[in-house]
Amino acid sequence: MAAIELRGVTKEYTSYGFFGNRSVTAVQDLDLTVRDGEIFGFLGPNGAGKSTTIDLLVDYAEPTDGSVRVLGNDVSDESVAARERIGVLPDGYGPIGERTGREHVEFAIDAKNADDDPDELLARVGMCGPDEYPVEEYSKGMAQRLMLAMALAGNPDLLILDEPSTGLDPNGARTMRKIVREENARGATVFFSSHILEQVEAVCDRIGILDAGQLVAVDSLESLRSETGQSAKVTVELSTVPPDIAARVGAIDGVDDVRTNGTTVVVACRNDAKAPVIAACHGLDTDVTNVTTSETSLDDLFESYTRGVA
Amino acid sequence: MAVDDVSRLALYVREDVRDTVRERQAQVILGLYALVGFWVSNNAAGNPAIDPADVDLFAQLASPLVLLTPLLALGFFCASLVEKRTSGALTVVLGLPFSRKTVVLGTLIGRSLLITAAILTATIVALPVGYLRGVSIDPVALAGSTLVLILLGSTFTAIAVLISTVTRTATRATVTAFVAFIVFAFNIWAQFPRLGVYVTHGLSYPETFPAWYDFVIALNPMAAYTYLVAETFPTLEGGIFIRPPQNPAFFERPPFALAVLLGWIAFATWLGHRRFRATDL
Repeated sequence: MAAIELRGVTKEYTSYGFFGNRSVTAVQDLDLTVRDGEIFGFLGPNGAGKSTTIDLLVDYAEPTDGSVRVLGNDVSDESVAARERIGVLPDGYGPIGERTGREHVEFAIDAKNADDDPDELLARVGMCGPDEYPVEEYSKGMAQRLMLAMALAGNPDLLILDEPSTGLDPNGARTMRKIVREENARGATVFFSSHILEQVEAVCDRIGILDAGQLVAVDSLESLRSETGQSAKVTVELSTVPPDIAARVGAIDGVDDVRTNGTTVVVACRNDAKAPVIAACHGLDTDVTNVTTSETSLDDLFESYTRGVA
Repeated sequence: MAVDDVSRLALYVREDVRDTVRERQAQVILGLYALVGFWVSNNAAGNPAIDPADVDLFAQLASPLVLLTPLLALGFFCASLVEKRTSGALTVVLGLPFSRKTVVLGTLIGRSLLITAAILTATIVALPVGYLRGVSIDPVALAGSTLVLILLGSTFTAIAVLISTVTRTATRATVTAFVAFIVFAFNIWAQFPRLGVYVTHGLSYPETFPAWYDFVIALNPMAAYTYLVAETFPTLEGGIFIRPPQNPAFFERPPFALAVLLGWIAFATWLGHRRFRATDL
């Protein structure tokens, strides 16, 4: 069973005014399936429609068209049943009244009829101590940890995390990634939107890239790399650069691009062309002083799929 | 409602009431009502020309509370949901398994409980002070004034929650609540059917107004309160700008007035839920 299924989902926001109405299409004809038990990263430039998609999953907003199913429940009329089994770290949240952090967590536990220990949840996100203060006084990072603790209440089958590392220090971001992996190992599906590409790369099984309200790519990172062609990069430092190096290395099967910068040669190529490129450099009438290889970063992928809008 | 729905509604009501305590809203309202209860009962026998035994304590108490209760219910509760929406608190609440119906109903019940506690506080404070001052304490008027005021308070709480669901900012909610108070309490409501009569009669007023004119006036919750107490607890009249008719029609009699107040609660809750359900956060 799919944890999340969106079929033909469109969301338009209309603002009404005296001089006419204005409509903005945030998400257009979106089809997306998130498999049970996977960690799915959801990427896209600002305004791409990521938070709107999450709003539709949690029933914060109603789709203009299409259907949204979460854990087998139709969100339009069974959203409470869905939310009994999901944990949400939303975007744009605020404290409930003047409650303390601990009271927020206790409220989440009670709402889910769970028997979690609030201290354990707070300790898990690294937030013991300030839990007795009103949340209004929290920093963004502390509030983010608290929301994660609330999301974990009741051992949810699906975690929906909207920009979870916002405001977190490096330790907090590491804790968050650890929790995501632990929850996934427990059997939970994780739907994870983020701008921090390294974090998505570090934890996600598959990623989806949204651009201008439309899904432009969904696959594993490796498949997306091979689809974009430039799946690897070889950087070779030479004592001197022969004038015919571009022609000689460029002739190797699988090489897409050869650029030189001083004594450094950067070769964009397929993964299986890396070894021939390095061998060809060693065969040149010059000394190879250093070789580094890397795969195409998620950053590059993101840029190529979103037309560099990010 | 399933058992889970009921237990979640109870949880929401409990937390909503606790929120009013955490935000000191409950203390302010209860303190204000205690003060009014003390002030009214202490001054009930203040006129030396009137024998204190001829003064009915709860008629005196109902007089300020009949205006204060709608004013405070609208003023304090009109932002109950819109504020949570703009602050992002509703995003947290609705990320948990609460339905929007639970949120609207829970807010209505929680705030109605608070206004009920406030009216009871005024009564409890007024009783011993009035007793010591020697004013008349009629147990029927005591029960009557308390119940009718609680009903009136719940009606305006429902209207306040409705306002909170249909407005987009706390400022707009406050302005709308103030306008609603003026319209109902000062009977500006009566001008709407009056305008209708004026338009339907060729931009002039007829010598006798049609029956529907009085019927529409009777739908004002403040008019309904007046008509409800006019026959059941006549001593509680006063404090508002609507007078009961000499020969009341069926819609100006207590059963219909009671139905009007309950109808406002039901209508405001239904419409509030309907609008809230269709609102994107």
